[in-house]
Amino acid sequence: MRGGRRSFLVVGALFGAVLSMQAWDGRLTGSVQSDVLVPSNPENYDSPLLTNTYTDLTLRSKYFEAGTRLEFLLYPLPGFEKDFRGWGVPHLHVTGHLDKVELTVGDIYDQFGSGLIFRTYESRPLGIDNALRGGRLVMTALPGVTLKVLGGSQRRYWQHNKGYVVGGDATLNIDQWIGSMSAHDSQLALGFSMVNKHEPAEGAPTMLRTETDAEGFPQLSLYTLHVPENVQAGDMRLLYQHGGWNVLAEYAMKSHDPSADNGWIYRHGKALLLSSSWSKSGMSALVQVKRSEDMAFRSRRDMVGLSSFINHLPAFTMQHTYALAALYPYATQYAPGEWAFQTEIAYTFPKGSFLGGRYGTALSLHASHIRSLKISESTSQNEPRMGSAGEQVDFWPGEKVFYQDINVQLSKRINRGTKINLMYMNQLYDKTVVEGEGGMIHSHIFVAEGRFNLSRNMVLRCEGQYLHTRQDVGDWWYALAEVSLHTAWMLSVSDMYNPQGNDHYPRVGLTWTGGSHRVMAAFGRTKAGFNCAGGVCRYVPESKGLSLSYNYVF
Amino acid sequence: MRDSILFRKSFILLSAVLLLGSCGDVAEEERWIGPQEVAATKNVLVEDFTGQRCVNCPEATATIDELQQRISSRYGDGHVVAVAIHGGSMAISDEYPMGLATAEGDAMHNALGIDAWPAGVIDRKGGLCLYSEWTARVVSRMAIIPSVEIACEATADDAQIGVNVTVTPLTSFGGFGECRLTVWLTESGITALQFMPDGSRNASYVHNHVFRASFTETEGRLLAGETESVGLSLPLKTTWNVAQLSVVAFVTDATGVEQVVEVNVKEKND
Repeated sequence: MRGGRRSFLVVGALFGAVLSMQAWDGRLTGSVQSDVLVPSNPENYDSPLLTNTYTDLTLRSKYFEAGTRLEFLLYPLPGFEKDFRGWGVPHLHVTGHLDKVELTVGDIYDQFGSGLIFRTYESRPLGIDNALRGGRLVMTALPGVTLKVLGGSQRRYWQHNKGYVVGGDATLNIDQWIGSMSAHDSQLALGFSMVNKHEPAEGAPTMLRTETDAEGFPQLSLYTLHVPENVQAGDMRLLYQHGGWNVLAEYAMKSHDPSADNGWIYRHGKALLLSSSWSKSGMSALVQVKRSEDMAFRSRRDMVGLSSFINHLPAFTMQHTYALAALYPYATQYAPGEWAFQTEIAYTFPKGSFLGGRYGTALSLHASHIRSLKISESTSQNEPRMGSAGEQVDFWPGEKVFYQDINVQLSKRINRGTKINLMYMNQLYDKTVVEGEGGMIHSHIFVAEGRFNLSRNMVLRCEGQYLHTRQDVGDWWYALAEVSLHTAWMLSVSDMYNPQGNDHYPRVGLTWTGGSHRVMAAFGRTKAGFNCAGGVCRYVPESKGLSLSYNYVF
Repeated sequence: MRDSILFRKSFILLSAVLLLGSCGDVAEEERWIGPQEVAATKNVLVEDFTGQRCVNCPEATATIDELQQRISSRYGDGHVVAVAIHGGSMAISDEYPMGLATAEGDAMHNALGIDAWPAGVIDRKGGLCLYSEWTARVVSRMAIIPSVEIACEATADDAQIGVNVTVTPLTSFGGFGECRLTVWLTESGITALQFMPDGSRNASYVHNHVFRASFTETEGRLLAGETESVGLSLPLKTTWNVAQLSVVAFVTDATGVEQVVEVNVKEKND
């Protein structure tokens, strides 16, 4: 009920105002997304029907844009926090464009650079919407120069955190000033950003110390941590692009930000990101390095979990779509930090070559390696860590491996109607680091996928997957068969099986797609696990029942 | 020209954002604000494991006396609830006229494996410790927010002592494992033999807050987590001085003693 009636009135008034403007020449677009679970054990839930339902509406004209979203999350799908529950219109924005100025009032999604110091976004599977409610001004007054200023309070589920976040970003596209660069297909951009978080110091942690009075008798004294009300973060970046080459170097810093994330220590946050990619027809390569230290930056310093993040550290891991390859996904360690390396090389053997055959063969190698920072000096055993500068951290990587994924994928069309994908993946996953317990899991994953055009209107897709590990709950098998008919219907049957626990997770699903509508119904058991996107993970408990999903875009 | 003005204005705006707020860094010597004196929000139980033949035990008793006096003068009465539990090889059994050790007291000594006296446990937290640590430990426990409130009344007639205890849960009650209520009877002002630190024997030594008996099971009575009133009784022994009897009621969970209160036993004709 939170925010419901008042929000409707505001939305109605705004849309009415925009529609009534003489300059109105736009159109209304929107979408509906509804995911429903009818659990087979309703006694374990608050409602026999759980749903995450969203409706977006956007009005656009030449000079204005107004957008809003209705969310119904009163009985959400399993795995979301208590505060996630509610319904109403939490998102509303109005944007005016005029010449070289754009002004937005309302809820703002934006990102500075790679997001190392500022990124607000919405991710429905993760239950994240950290929009800023305030204003944003974007100016492109000079050629090649974009200035952006924004500020507001950050959304946390159905409330907005106390305090506010303000930030500015300047992007200088230097290639637009140097004619020879444009002529040679080169782009060079410099970016500078700054964010200030203001948060009242209330609720700062306290510490009791037993001291002695003038007579030497112990007395208890209370000390309150002096948490800074303003935390600043700065970011600078350089982006160079020439032909198929793309190089990004970005560095960010953050002032003292004692928080629940870092154990209330006073240390500067730092993040360095280097990324280089190259591509040409049939070939591509990517190399990325990231070092982050104490870069959890939230609008609420006492918050843990997924909410209230102001920034986002990109994950340097591959986001797998195969079920067993995604069984142990990595979550970025914001504090104390990590070293992350990623590389990917892809090559397509051309048609007619020895390895390419008649249709060509695509081969890719991907490797991610993430490890700890090197601690050179621990905190004193006699002094509390809270309130200290924390451990002395070296620049170079530490000894502990958090995650490693080396995989090779081969994709080949055998004939006109048959295509296969094969993958082998070698994975190291420190479950203790990501989930709090469980130790290191070393697994080998094998995937075979085949796509067969059985007739003009029928396509069969099959997957067979095997994960071998001696740790955790042991091996897993997975099989899937999916038949598509007339492009509108799709029937799928799958099962995930753990021989050690003799556990089956079967699932049968039927999907219909027609125009802008997509309806899916599935029945089965879903394994508990982590749902991750971009290095951000949410734990989803096991569930069993009927899943329904409806999507509509207009 | 107009572009240039726009650019200048936006640059000023951006600069203002960049400079907004003072730098968040906090110097090392400024990271704690204080000291602020702490209010005593909780009473603390001192279990003094003692014996009449233990020469150092009067030193521990003196520590308790000083502690109670100082805490009372600063925070008010009742914040330090002491119970002297006689038992073990240094104790004299109450089967003898001058003895103060009970079978229950012996069992408690055995359960904790005490083989050196005096020994103490403060608020059932942190295990056995020397009496030199008691003061600091007591003071550190006083600022904890208790999760229960205990109301207790005790009356005695010619035949028995009756106790009514009401436990009211506060915010975090039951969040740390099983909660149990324990109710004990203690007596002060008992003149009985005590070996003294100089090796002498003092037959006129006055023993205070001596454990006499337990109204509940030794391990305490399990609480359901809701407001609960318990009525308990014990037969009155003729050797006990009713005017000097007290009842100590306390609630424990996995984190220690959540709250403890001590009330005097009233005679029914009072």
